[in-house]
Amino acid sequence: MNDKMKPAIIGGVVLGVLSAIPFVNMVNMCCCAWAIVGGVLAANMYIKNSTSPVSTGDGAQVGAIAGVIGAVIYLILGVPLGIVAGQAMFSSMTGMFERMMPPEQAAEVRRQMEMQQAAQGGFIDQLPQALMFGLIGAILLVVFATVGGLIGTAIFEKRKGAAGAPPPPPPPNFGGPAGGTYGAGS
Amino acid sequence: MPAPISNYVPQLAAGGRRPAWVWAAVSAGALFILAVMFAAPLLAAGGYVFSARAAYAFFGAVCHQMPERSFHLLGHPLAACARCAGLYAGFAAGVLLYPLARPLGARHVPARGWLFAAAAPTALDFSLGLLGVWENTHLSRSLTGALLGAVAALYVVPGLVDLSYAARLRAFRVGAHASEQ
Repeated sequence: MNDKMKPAIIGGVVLGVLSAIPFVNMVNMCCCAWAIVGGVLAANMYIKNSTSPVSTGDGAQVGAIAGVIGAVIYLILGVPLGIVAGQAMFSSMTGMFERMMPPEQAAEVRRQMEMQQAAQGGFIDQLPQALMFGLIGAILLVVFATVGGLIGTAIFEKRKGAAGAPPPPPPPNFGGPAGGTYGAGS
Repeated sequence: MPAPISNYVPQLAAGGRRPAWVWAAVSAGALFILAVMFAAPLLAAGGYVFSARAAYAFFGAVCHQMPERSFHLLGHPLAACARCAGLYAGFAAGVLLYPLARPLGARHVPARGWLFAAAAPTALDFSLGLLGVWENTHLSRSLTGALLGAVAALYVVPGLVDLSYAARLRAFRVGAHASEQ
């Protein structure tokens, strides 16, 4: 296994699962925070396991791989879970309205919500639209996980000499003594 | 001690137009995001319901889109809230102005302290608002977000330039191995 794969898989599973669980995934509404966390986590683990300094490009790569893994998990788990959770939320909300509102007002709200749900259709009817929005979400997960990998490398890589670091200044006697040695033997 | 041969970076990879292409691609992406954000209310006002819905859905995955926390255009909220709008606008400005601040070919990122310093106003504005100490406004949310977005560009562009070099280096090594065999 490539040395980048293990941290990327762990970061990807974390971001994918957290982005798929209903309600927990609402954290993603803050600039795809779970994707950034997954990318940062993957970059951090890669830096800890690497014997040489890690460049930001490597961090971005680990973040991007984590994003792809997370996006696949999100599509497989998150899309169906989102539809099921939407239907569960409908029943819990109608129950809540019935407890909180006068009966005739609650019945009106329930009727409107049922009409809205009937327009959306069942699980199979909602699947194509949910998949389309899921694909947009998956692309965004990859983009933000890559950014997370970049930021994670900038934060956690404290060693000098990463591939992208500026070169050290030359030693004081670099290039020989001032004025050269031409004619010194005569 | 001499560096191992595996650390050798071909000088061919160090120059060229690659950094400019990476910068152009990131700029295009940042401007596309801004365009979608502003297009959503314009499309909604123009009656293009499906396109407007798609534009709002694009940001729906990454932003709460609360109308009371968003700037409005022609009576419709932008596709992202005021903080996110500031963040994306700041990032786009940071990327576009990047060549004025640093060479495009630079692959090292600024010290991480600058990133924390840029994130501090956003964190402060958010936490003080959450605790009820400070009533944040559209302006405070968007300005603090813009600062963070602009500074984030200084980390994202060199990182992606470095990533592009890494990809090119790998191709070079694969080619070298193939020619050795």
